Amino acid sequence: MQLVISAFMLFALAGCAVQGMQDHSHHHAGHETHFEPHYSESLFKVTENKLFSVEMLLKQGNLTVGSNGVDIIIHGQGNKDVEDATIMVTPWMPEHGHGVREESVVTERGAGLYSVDNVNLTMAGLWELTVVISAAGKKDQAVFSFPGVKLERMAGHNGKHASHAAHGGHGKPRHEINLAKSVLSERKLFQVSYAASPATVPLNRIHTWEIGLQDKEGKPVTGATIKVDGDMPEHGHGLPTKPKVTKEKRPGLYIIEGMKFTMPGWWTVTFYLDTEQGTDSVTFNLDLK
Amino acid sequence: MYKRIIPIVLSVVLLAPGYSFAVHPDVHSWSNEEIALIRSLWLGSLHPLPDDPSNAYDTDTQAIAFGKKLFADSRLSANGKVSCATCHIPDKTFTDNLPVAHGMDDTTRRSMPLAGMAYSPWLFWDGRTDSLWAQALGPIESPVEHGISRTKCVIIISNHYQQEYEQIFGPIPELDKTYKETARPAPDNPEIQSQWEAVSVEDRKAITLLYANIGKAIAAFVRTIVHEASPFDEYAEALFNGDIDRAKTVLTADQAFGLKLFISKAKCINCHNGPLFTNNDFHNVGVPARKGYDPDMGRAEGINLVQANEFNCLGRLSDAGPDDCAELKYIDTDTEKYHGAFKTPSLRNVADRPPYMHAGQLKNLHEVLKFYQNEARKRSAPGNNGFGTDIVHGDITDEDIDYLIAFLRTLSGPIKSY
Ligand code: HEC
Ligand code: HEC
Repeated sequence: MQLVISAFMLFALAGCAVQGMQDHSHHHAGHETHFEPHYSESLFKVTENKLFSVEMLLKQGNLTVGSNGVDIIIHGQGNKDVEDATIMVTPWMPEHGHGVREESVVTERGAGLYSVDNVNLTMAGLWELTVVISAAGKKDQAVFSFPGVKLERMAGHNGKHASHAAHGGHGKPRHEINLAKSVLSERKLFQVSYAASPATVPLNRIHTWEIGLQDKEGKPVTGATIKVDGDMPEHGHGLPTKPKVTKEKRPGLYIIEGMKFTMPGWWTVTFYLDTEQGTDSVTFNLDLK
Repeated sequence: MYKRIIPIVLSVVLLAPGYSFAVHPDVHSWSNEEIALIRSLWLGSLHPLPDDPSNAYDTDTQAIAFGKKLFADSRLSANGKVSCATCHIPDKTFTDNLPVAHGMDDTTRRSMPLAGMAYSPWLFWDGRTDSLWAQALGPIESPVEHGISRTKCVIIISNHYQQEYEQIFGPIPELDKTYKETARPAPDNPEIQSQWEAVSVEDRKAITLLYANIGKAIAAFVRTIVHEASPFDEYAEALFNGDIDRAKTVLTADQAFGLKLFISKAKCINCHNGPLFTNNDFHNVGVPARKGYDPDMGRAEGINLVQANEFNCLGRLSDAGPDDCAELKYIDTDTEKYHGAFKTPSLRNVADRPPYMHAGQLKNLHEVLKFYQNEARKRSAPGNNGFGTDIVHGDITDEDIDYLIAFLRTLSGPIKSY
């Protein structure tokens, strides 16, 4: 164990040293903007060619294995808010030399704020998030590093904490995970529910789900485009199939075909919802036996 | 940044698991959660034999009987010596105990056991076919296995099985005498391919239909190959009946402890799950290629092959309806994810059929478990593992290996077929 501790400490220090050097290398160029953080809790970085500053706020307080959300605030020359930028956030595991398959979803919120969802980290360990910014014909990037990404993660989206021992056995009572089949979406735009057929989600059999989508007034939300993603937060791999919405059976009731789970344990299923009332996402937890 | 890094590093250290796993004083007592997992592995939980919608003949008793004959008929080979049963020997749990199969020549993979395969949505180590009948048509035209063509099949069937075939499937096509016996679609062999192109379009269709039909008959037989209860299943039943005294006479303490490891710390149940001890899904557990063989892409190639397979569930010769074929319609096409991934083998009767893995890389169960032990240790070492291996279990000690093997031996039971 001793060895592991020192290895991590080394990384932490090395990370800081590199960062320190970057931050103090300002004096090379003459008339650059002196960027400053605007939020006290944010992680702050100036991009490699000093064109932008990037502040990152972790929506769940930290990054964990599974799907994460971050808010990014971008400032440009003269410390001005950068709007209409194209932002790409790419996770990378430098020690393992691999990234992830899923792309993050970026939504511009105005005044230099960009909301990034589906930052999908597939395993515990050291991760880097590279933020590439293109705005007004200029492109630059900053790399944030997160040495100790863990398996632990927030339950459902109700803010209750699911404490998961990394190697806890199967079949542990998972009282703290929200297994509800009807929940409020992430941005609270919709009430979303699912019903699997057969009702008990089966292991190793392809089957169908129905998704009910309602707005805050309880009215069905029609014509939504829905994308499906599944994950095992403790293992870091997705569904063995590519499920698709095949039809809207009734207003606000969508049929999803091709659902399949091939491992017992804790699964999350996330739906990305694109509707006339706005885009949102919702995540359900399942404990499969 | 500085302030953030320190608390995160510390919490990693605090959370690092200790893997202590004390031996339970009474290994034969189980929690409700454990009983639920044992029930999920019990043969009695297996749902009824599925009826393949792409094969209209798979429950037809005449087709089953015909398929059984074809399965063992070595006339269906280029040298008159190879049948399905050459590599899938009924007395050897329908496999051959060779590291890589040998038909007309050496193949690159190990023969797979057949029991319970009607439950699998994908066949072959890479899942390159999606039904037992599409599967059966692979080896017949493979130059290293049976080494004959679909055209030759028409000749063999009309010489030896005319009546049997026609009773089930209707008339056998009359072939033009100028057709070459070796004619078959062969994109990688221009000579054979041109022989096939010399066959009229209509006859090509008729030949291929007969070929598909014999696949469907063979599949009807293979579907009937199933497992019967093993000591593990008897043990499970005794537990469900609350009869611990009986349970103790079926499994020893070591075997029961192996079961406990299998469903908990060792996490074997992640992939070897359900009553057949397989999820029939594809994983890269990190087995290196067989010495002297090219690296095998496994499922990464199977994904493209099954979609292109002329005999797949969505193809012209499939009997499936528009609502069938969900597995193929919603196939995960992410080839990168399945690089080097192979189908999880069933562990029923596993102790009876060494060697192991897709090219017989490991000689015995001890080597398999040692392999898993090393793979897990590599994985938990900091910064010391590549992308791809799906093994996430805790540390397995040398003692655990013995318990796990003792348990795997309780999974052998009779295999039944038509
Ligand atoms: C030369 C030996 C050989 C012959 C002959 C042979 N097989 Fe196989 N069989 C294999 C090998 C090797 C595999 C795995 C091949 C692969 O994955 O590429 C296999 C795989 C299979 C599978 C897939 C099982 C699973 O778990 O996915 C089935 C079913 C099967 N064979 C049935 C048959 C039938 C039916 C025949 C006769 C038409 C036949 N085999 C002829 C060697 C043979
Ligand atoms: C991530 C999924 C996964 C897990 C977890 C897993 N296995 Fe496997 N197992 C496989 C796959 C896939 C293969 C075939 C690999 C190959 O041939 O490349 C396999 C092969 C085997 C074989 C050889 C069977 C044969 O027919 O060749 C045995 C025995 C085995 N596993 C036992 C175990 C045990 C015991 C454990 C727990 C320590 C375990 N497995 C955990 C997926 C898994």
